[in-house]
Amino acid sequence: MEKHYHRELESLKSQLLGMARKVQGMLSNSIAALTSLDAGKIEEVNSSEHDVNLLEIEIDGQCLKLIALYQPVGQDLRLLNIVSKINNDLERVGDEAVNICERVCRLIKDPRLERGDLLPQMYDIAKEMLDKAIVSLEKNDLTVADDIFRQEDILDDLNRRMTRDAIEQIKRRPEITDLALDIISISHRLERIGDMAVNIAEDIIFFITGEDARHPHDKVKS
Amino acid sequence: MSKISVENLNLYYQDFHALRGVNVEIAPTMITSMIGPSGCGKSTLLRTFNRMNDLVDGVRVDGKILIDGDNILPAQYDLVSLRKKVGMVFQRPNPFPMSIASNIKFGLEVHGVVRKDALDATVEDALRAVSLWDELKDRLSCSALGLSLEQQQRLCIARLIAVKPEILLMDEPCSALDPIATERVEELMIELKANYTIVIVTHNMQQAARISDYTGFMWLGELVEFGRTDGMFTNPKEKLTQDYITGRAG
Repeated sequence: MEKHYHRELESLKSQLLGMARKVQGMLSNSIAALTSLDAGKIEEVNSSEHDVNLLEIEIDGQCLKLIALYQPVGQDLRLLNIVSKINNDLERVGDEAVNICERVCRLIKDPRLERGDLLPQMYDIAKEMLDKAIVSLEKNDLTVADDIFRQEDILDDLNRRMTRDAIEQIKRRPEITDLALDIISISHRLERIGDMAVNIAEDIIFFITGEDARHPHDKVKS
Repeated sequence: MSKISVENLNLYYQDFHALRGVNVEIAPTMITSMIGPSGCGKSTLLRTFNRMNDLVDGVRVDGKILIDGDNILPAQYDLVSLRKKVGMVFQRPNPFPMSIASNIKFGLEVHGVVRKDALDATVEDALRAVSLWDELKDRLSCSALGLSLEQQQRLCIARLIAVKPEILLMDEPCSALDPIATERVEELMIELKANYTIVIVTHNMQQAARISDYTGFMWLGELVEFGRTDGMFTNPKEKLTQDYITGRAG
């Protein structure tokens, strides 16, 4: 017979997945806002932020309650550990979506800057990484982890190119410096979202295998 | 070198196969916990380390138990010296119905110590080792049965320590104690491990996780998994261990 405690663990995970879907929606809307220059999407992102913040607090409270009441061990302990960390990462992805929208607001109003096709490409990769990380969480599936790690390198590279291109534009046209800085900021925030997808993938590896996948080159030999 | 090496140990209570091919190495001056559901064989394994199972009718043992390299299982092995070296604390404290001091002296007297000054010195040393001296030094002649359960359990540990054992076996030593007394006895165990090898059987997994360096998980007479306690409670290697410690089996 399934125990109350195990049902609570399942329910906590469902709650985290619900939050993940909300954050995915925020990221999609921030992308849509930039590509379609649609201010309505920005409103949707901003209104979701409040819900995500409340979910973060609620999920953290649930984690603490389950630890205090049941003193979990083994895979249950690892689950609560990663739920708490992923909860924090997802909330930060939501924050980044809001921050992106703030920059998009200014870009919508000012068509002076050539945005090129690098930003939509970065958006696609960051979103794909986050989607894969969330599917991996939902299905306890490690098969996409390597894909996520590989895409992080691509995203890092695009971020460097994006920053370099924006600096070139500033040199050529100093009058658009403020807009170019917004582009650099968006690029950097997309790169951070990719990092958080990587964190989530590493957490899922830890949950499933018990192995710590973080900082593979910095491990202390035991 | 291990303090206790168990090699392919099988134990039968008549037709019942209670221990099945157990192999384990118990490290010196460490606390090793054995966990598992009731009837899995953990107390039986513990009681083989000082041959307490010899008292059970129809028991049969094969395999080896080496303590400091000597196999203790042959029939001719000196049980008095074995039980002096390997002492045992039981689930409920079992002080003798005599004075506090006499409880401590009893084992020494059995082993032939008669000098009053030596006996008195040992009473003080043993009670100090279990942090009872300050509480009890003025009522050493009072009956041990008048002590609290926690004090009785500490006294039983002091009684063991008096005969200078090397290994302490503890079978659910805190199960009759309240949480505060349990915490004190656990602290005592951690202090004692500097000088003694401790093997504890417990149903309380949090206790095993808190105090022991190594943990073994037993199921139906087999030692399913044995390893460092921190690994056992965060990332057990066997699915059965995982299911048991997370409440999905047993």
